[in-house]
Amino acid sequence: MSFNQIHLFVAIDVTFLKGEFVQTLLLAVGIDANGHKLILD
Amino acid sequence: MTLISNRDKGLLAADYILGDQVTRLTCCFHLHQNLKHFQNVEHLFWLLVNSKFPNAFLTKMAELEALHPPAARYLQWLDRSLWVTAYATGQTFDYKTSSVVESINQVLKFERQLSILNLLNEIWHILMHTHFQRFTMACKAEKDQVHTDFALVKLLESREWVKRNRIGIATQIIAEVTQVNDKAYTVGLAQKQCSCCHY
Repeated sequence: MSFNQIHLFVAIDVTFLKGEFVQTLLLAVGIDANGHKLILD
Repeated sequence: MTLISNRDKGLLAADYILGDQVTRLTCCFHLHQNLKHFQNVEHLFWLLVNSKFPNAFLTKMAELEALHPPAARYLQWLDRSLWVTAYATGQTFDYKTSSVVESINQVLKFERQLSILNLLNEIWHILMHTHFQRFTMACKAEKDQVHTDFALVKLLESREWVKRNRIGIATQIIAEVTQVNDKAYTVGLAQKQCSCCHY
């Protein structure tokens, strides 16, 4: 849904979770017309 | 479409799926961190990254090679289109690092301690809150408003700059633009380039 509302620029990063199990979270974030960050869903 | 990442192994493995229509960029902050292993070369790194023209890049690279050959070899091993402004093929929107997503990682610092279901639930709530804020802002906008508030401010700022700049013609093909802060730039009318490197 967010993808249609952003500039054609996506930043991707993988981060470790700090819970009981070792897991990684992949986040993709874009920038909208107001220059705000938007998590892509 | 431009995609910036820190060349994570998992992401590199999925790279071939994206095909040729996506421009890849490498986070320059992570490259800078790698370059810290080589001493006294950090000051040249950002000059290399921000080189707007290939000639400027090659000059700085020769300077780096003379100063620290291993550091130069490390950077030469990388694809230039991934990190040098002069060789980048896609639109970068002036972003050279993956700070956009790193800042979101920091926002989720406490949520990352939760179990996976609770984490996803929290992310969902953050997303819904963002969407609601955006929807509220969109409802407030007037019907005949063409630009967003952000774009309108930028446009008005640019118009103010244009009004205050002093333009002098040096020759038939060279003009000089002096800004309010007394910074002067040379515009080559034949090449259609300005020494500010933005145009």
